[in-house]
Amino acid sequence: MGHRQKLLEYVVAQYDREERLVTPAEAARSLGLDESLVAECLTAFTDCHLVVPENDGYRPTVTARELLALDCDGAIVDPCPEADKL
Amino acid sequence: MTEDNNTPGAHDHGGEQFVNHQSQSNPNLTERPYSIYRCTDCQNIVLSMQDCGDGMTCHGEPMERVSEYAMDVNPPDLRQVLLDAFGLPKSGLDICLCVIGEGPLSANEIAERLDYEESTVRRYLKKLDEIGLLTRSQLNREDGGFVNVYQPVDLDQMRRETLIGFYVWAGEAASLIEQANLTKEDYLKEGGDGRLDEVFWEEFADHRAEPDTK
Repeated sequence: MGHRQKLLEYVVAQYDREERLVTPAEAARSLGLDESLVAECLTAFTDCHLVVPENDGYRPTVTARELLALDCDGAIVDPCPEADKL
Repeated sequence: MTEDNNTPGAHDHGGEQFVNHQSQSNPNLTERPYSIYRCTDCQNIVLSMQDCGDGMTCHGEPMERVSEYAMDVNPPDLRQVLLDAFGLPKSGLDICLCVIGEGPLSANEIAERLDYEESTVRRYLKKLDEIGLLTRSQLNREDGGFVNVYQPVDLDQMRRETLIGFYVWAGEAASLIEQANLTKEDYLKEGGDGRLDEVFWEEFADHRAEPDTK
């Protein structure tokens, strides 16, 4: 499993357990990843509608939960599937 | 005798280049990772990715494993094979390889990694879904609407389906070659009018593949 998948799983699990926003710093510390890498991934997740930034942290969306439920090993998210038709 | 062509083994035949890639003697087929069997009674030829021993039969009799072949065969180029069999250019395969074991990645990130236009990535994602290497799901967005998610099919399934797909393509190609052989045979039997080359290509006028412009 890649670090992105681990991060997304962590954000959902941590948010549900603690019932509070997840910060890049704590995710990086818990997963043993570089904080700038985590911040970069969370920005990409935001673009994909998988997390929403609020104050100093992030909360997972229903889209992230649906993605994890697919239980897939790798995925490409196209957040604007209608873009080419516009 | 001197060769004017720069490519060793290449000869110009009326504007078309005839390239002989295999100048050495043909390898023993029993040492290849596939097996070809022939029926000793009829014209049936079978390709298998395994050594089936005496298990391959035709008319209830064991088939003979082919160990030698007379015609030189050009070594296949993976890019050309994927393009011919599945209409999948290298760019499409690159996208497929990016997603295996990694993600979630956005279509935009894939475009940046591979230096493609985002619209190109989107087009190949659709193509990869159509040929069955990726599966597409629609996930709900909190603000309404949906996102598309493309995930690779199970690797065992990918292996199985690409081989079956390729065998279908090879079967269609073999049918064309067999039809070509029968066309020549019929021409000789019937003592046909006109030149064989004209009769031959007229027979296959509808089978000419259009170049892939994608």
